[in-house]
Amino acid sequence: MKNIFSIWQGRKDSAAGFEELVAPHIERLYRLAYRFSGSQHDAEDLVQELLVKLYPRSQEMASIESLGPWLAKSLYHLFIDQRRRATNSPVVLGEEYGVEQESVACVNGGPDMHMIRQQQCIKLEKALFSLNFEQRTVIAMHDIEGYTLPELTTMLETPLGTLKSRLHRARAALREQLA
Amino acid sequence: MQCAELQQQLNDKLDNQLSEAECAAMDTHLATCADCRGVVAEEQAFRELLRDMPVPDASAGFAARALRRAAAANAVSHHPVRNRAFMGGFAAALVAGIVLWFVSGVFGPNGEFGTSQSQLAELRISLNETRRVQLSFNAPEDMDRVRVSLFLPEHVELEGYPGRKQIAWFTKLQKGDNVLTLPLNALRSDKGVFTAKVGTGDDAQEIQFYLNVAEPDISTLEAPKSA
Repeated sequence: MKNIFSIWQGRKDSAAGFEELVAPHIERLYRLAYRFSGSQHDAEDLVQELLVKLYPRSQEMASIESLGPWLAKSLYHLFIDQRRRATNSPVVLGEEYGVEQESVACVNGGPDMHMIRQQQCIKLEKALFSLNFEQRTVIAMHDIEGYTLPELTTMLETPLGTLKSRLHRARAALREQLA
Repeated sequence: MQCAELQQQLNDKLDNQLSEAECAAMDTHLATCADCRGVVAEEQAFRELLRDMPVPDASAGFAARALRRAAAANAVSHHPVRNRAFMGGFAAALVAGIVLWFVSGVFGPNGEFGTSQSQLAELRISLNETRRVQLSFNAPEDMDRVRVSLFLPEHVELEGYPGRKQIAWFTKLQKGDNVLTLPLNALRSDKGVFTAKVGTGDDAQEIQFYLNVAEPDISTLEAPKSA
């Protein structure tokens, strides 16, 4: 009976520890997943799969100083893996990775400003999903979600110069489509 | 500093990539150049618009649900077998509509699979066996865009999708019964929860059952018959 109790206690601690570590980051991970996938459902699925994969690694995560960027990096690599698997799959799974743009609205400013910004947001979101994945990723992670360039060199395993030129080209493409 | 130089370095400044001295030189130029102040303001407005681009909210209770599932998916081998068929429920738009159930007749003559709709079932599969499991959905009308999501435990794979623990796609349902056949491969001995989620938009229904993969009982194996 004692052993059973110990196992149960251990599992409770493990679940609580995982939740304590990860829960503060879920909203941001979801936002990032949405920027990658363009769909609420796919974003939720991606975050869910990440949590399932990371659950056994609670101890490792507890020792990571900046867990947010580490989780974002894990999410990015998981998404890359999913894309690769989907590309290699002999079966086409419908619209699994299609951009399913939701109707969302910007909310800042007064009524006139609201309408202008909303139109700009819609155009910008379409423009964002017209970028190639590398450009979209760097815009999403840097310009939108606020990860710094030094953080991104580690997260995306890409040199600083490459990231800067990607950002430059991506912003230029977005501006061109907004004009 | 000249205007061209400032505009060349503007992104680096906004990305916090300039030294203090370079920033100071830029500020000095900006104090006297209205054109460059306009360029900076335009760039800042563009970035603000990017940051303000909204994301649709995750479905209600997503974070808590995702954490629960992560824990469940990793701890099912220790779970007692629970009987539960449906989790949550369709929202109003679908309450009157879709009904999910397992087709009991497809699980072989030994009746390994519990068939009651009000109980969570446990399907037992032998190691390295491929078992075709059928899920049946009854739709009240033709439905054009229904999302089907499968969440597989670590020890089981869907044939044709090695390594994938989560598979989702959109499909059409025809009025009446719609049967989804899933060939499941048992990879190793373990027990875990299989989840199928079907729905439209926020209205989704989950159904779960345990997949229990056991080592084959060699005492019951028949000797191969000679040709």
